[in-house]
Amino acid sequence: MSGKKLGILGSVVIVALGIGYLALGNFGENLVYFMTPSEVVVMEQNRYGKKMRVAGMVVKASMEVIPNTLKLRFDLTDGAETIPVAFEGIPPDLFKEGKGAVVEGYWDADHVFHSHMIMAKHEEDYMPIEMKKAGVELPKMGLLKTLKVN
Amino acid sequence: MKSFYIRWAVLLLIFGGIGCMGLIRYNREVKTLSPGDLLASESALGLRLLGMIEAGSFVRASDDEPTRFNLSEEGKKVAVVFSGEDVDDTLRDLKTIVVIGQWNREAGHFAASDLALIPNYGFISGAYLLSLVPLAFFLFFMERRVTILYVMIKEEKIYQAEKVL
Amino acid sequence: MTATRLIGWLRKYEKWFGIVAASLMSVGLYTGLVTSSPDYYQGEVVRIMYVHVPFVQTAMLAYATLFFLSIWYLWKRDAVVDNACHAAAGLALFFTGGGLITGAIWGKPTWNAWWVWDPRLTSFAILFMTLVGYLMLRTFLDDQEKRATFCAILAIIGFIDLPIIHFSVEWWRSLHQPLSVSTRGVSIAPNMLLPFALMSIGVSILFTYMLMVRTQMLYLEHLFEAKQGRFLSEGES
Repeated sequence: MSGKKLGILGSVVIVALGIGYLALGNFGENLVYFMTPSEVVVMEQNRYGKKMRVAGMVVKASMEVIPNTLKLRFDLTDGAETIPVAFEGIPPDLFKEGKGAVVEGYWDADHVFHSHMIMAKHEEDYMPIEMKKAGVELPKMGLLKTLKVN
Repeated sequence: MKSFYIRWAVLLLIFGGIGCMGLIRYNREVKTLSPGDLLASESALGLRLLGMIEAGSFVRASDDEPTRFNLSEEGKKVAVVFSGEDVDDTLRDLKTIVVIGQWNREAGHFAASDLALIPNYGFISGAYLLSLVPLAFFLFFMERRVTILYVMIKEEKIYQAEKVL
Repeated sequence: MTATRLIGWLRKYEKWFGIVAASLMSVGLYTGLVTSSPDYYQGEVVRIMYVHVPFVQTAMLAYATLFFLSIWYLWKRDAVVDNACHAAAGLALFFTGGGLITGAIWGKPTWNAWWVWDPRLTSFAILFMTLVGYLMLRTFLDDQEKRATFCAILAIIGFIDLPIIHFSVEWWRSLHQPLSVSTRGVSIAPNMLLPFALMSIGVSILFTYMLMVRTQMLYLEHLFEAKQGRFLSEGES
């Protein structure tokens, strides 16, 4: 096969893979980029200890730091169920009580989610602090709604 | 060709000027010091101090006590007394934050009256430069190519080539 | 429409698009970098939005343009339209790349990740791959008509990705935030909406300008090559 034909084949394959990925199954896995606490609490035992991502809202006043360590605990809720999360490390700057977070780690038999990595999930509203102070609320979907809890 | 280069020089001046104004604003309103810098200079002027709130050091304001915490960065730490309003409950343990206020030499703490979030200006300038500079280069070489092509075609006298297509 | 008339029209009017784009973008950058406020939750880093969103929107606009130009080509079979398709694809790839880079730089300080395989980012990466494949296909096919037809069909098929990118954040679970401008209303405060809107419109018009310039460039190169090809064959005989 000549280089040119190989090139044509290569470019068609690249596009076909992309489109096929969209049209067929694999994209479906990414449709569930994360699970929700409601799904975690009803999970089968054989999925304990497996790596996964869970998203929710960090419950207000639930965060506790163990002094002189980098260990912290907080609760994550999707509105229906709440799970405790144990994390070790420095949480990202946007990690905040009452805001969204995606935690990566595993759920174990102790019914605590053990995480080593937190991502902050922010919402689509943007405003200066002065407006926030004045109590302005801009229209938005709402964090719990973005979790698409079944 | 000459007008082409003049046009680009004007554009460069305008956008360079905007970049400079952005830089001036950064130096005036955003630039921060680290606790280490503060301890070395002992300056008492209005300052912006950037650091992380030490784990377990954060004590929220009560009836007669203001909010207190230790701000640390690279092993150096400064005690901070914050008397302002924490509008959106921004403060917590292990958070990197900017406190705005003055160094109180007698009491040995930093008296903060306002807060700001971590500026992350490296990311901002990175995003602007990595998008707009390639855009400018892309456009510049494209326009120059078109200008040259028109000149070349004029010289070759082939700009009547409807039948070629 | 004849090719020379179209090219002449592009050459005559392109400067107005360039001037409008440069004016909107200069005011947009000034308000974005100097006068707009930091966000209550993200701080200064929200300024990345004023380049990221315009780039991504323009990438999608460029692909939509490629889609309509491809249909136009299949309908009229005019070589100059194929030049315009080629130009739109190159620009779409550029803006898609810019959108990916600025998005990664915005993602690190806000989400704490440069890249995640969530539906929005994955579908946008597929747009990038589609354009890479499209441009590769163009370089490997020699016959002008065959190349133009195959590429037009490819571009039309790839269009299904566009609504998926747009609505992915509304339909599925995503780390990416939902749409800020939607049927719910506008979720951006006025003093931040100004640079956002100016840059979005400015970069879109800049794209129109770039498309006009690039179409001329590709047409002229094509013309020049064809002419030189004739010189060459005349020399051989």
